[in-house]
Amino acid sequence: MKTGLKVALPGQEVDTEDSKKLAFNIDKQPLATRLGRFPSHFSKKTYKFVSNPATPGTPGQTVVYPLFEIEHNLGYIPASALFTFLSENAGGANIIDDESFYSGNFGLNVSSAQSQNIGYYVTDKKLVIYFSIRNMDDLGPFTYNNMTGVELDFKYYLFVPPGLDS
Amino acid sequence: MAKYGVKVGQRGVDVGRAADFQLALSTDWPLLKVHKTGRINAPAFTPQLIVENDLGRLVPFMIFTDGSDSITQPDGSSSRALSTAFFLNEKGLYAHDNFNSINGYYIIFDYDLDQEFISEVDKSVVQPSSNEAEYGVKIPLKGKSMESRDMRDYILHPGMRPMAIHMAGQRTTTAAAPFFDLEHNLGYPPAYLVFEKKQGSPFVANTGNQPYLQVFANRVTAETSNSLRFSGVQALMIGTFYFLLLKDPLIAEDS
Repeated sequence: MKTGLKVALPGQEVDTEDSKKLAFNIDKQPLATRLGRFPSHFSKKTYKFVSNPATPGTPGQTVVYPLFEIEHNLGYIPASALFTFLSENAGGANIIDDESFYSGNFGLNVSSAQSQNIGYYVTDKKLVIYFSIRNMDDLGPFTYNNMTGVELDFKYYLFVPPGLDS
Repeated sequence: MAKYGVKVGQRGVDVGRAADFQLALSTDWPLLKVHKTGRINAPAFTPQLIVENDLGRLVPFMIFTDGSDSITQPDGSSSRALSTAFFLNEKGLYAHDNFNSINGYYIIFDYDLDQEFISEVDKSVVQPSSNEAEYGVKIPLKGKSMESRDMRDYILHPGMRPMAIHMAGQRTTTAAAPFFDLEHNLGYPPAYLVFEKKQGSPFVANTGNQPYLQVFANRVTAETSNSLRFSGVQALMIGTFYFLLLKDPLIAEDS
């Protein structure tokens, strides 16, 4: 005999293996966010970076500026999602991945670059959100300076469970 | 007609007055249930099957790839972040051809994206109690202890907020109207997942001419408290898109 707990959606028969008819099934772990211990929303923070006078960059170099570091100290790498509120989005939130193209203005003066990106990663201790300039080999040497003002909203999720176990 | 069902509140929340997103469980909506998880080890320049899709239909998924970039992680620590370089069809989950080898982790969810769904809305919000006493419902995974303090060991726990599905379905856009609007009526902008539905096998030879899903990221959403607009940034957004709007608000401050 199999024991457990199932909760059916309104009007559905609970005695089913069809997941579409169930609000909850003890055999299926739901994706869930962890609550408490740290905030998950940052609003309108300005970050100033000093790279003045102009700094030379080598062909193929990627320049990275960390924007946020948020410690979670879970001891393992949780699943995650990051929503970024950008001015170019008319007030909307944009879900981004490990390296998303960014067409906004960071106030950065760069002589040539393939792309400007906002990215993030999560370790077993912290979440890091960064801005990067990617310069391809065929663009040659470049210079960058004067990244002086960034205002961004972020909302991030750390999903526990599941952990991204190795 | 009398209404029957089950509601479970999060820690410190009066379940009788809780807003939708303050509940750990309700019979009024499905949760985003994990079907399968596992490791990814895909070599460079070899588009390939990661894992078979034993559900046999298009379902939501998330991919987290390992960070190995010495620039972003100078301390050498391992990390993972959401990736869009994968797709899923009715046969399996695949990695695109890639310049570099990809290692990571996948989550495949069990949810029918073809089924239109929208739940009713309760806009009340309760201030959680500061009472730290451990009341509520805990359901551990099979073989795990009820006393575990590791959240990974639980199906349901008052300290977790499951991703409750508020609205789901698909929309098709055209060149004349390269966007879609979703009237969700939540009163706040919610978290979401969007997948683009494509046809064919542009990257992997053995997938045949089948529909497949890609995570749709890095695009604009314009929002009001009761609607979302999805549209392209640099190019017209034309095609078919599946969406999952979650109950979770993007503007609320978390405890």
